[in-house]
Amino acid sequence: MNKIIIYDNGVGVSVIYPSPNWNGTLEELATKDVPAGRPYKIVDVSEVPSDRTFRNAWEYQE
Amino acid sequence: MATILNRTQTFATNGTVTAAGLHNLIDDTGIYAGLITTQTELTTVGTADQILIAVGGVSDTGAPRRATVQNLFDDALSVGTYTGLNLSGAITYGTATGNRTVSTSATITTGTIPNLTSGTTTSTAATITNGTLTTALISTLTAGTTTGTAGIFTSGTITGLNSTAGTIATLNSTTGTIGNLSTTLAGDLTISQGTATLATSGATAGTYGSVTAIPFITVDAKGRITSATTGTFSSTPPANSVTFNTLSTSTTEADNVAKRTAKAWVNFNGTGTPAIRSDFNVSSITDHGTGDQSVNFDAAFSDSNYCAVIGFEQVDAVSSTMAAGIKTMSTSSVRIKCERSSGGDEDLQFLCLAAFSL
Repeated sequence: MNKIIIYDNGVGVSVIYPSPNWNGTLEELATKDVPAGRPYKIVDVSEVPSDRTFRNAWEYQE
Repeated sequence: MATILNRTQTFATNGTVTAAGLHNLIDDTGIYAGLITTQTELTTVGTADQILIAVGGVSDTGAPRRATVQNLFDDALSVGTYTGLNLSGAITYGTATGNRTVSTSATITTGTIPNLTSGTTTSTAATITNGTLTTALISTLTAGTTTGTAGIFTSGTITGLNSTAGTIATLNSTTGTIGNLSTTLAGDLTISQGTATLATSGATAGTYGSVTAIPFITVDAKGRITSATTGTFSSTPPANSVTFNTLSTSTTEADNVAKRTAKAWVNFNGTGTPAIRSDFNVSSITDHGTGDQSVNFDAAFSDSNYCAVIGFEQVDAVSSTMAAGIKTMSTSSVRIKCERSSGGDEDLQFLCLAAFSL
């Protein structure tokens, strides 16, 4: 799956990577795994850096 | 035997009988064909009846010889060749023995030929409409030859048989093709007009068995299904059977396997672009930051009293001792924290979690 979910966790950004066995839609996954009330976006995995050197400095932008 | 004298030779009363006159009287003596036709005809001839016959090789002056009917036919039918013989009536007299040659146009309508050789029957014009061949070799027998309903071959060899109808009571053949054959066999197979049909085995044609019925099949020594029925089977397993409920919800500790198996597990890579390698009952992982990931369950636990076990593989680049532990637990996820023993968070290539519960 090339899409992931990112959401604002209050102090930074969290990224949800679906299981290969997930049979539902990303919207359904977001509804289940994104904390209630948190804004989120479904983006392509390529939009998230694979270099995690400054992982904790990532910020969520609308 | 009767004779007719030459009545033109006369002698006067008290006259002189001369030698010339007597010769004249005798010389003209003969048997007239008309005399034979005037005789009463025998309607039947017995074997002991006699006839007169001129013996071959004896001069015309020789006297005819008498012979019985039996001797006549015994001798005549036992030897000789009859090139134009046409036997249209029944051969009822005696038993013919010896070799006989019947011409190509001969017809034997009724009779018994105990030993018929091949040479006798090569002609296509030979017709036996009613008779018995006790031993014979017929190289080619055409259909027209065998139309007689009373034709019987008790033994012998027919190398080529062409027939559109008829009955062969016993047929012994090692080679050849018999088309359009009808016969009654003693076994389980019948052949009618060239079509072979298996005898019914006793089973009724149909489909036996279903999701709720099991078939009961009887097979004989020949591999045939002689009986087929169905019977229902109970969906209730016998006592002490291994069932899902026994394994998963049994209150008996020894039976309950569910208690011993993980209700969720996952193996994922926490470095680079995190990704799940394999899992069960895990919907996703959430990357919160360096060394900080959550495992989200597909089906949530009924409570948070389950047991989560963490395992990890230390990456080569990390020389210091690692530690991974549970940060938070909920019914829907477990949050894991990975740190170096020397301090500082760390992403791990291999991070595993398994969760057990009642």
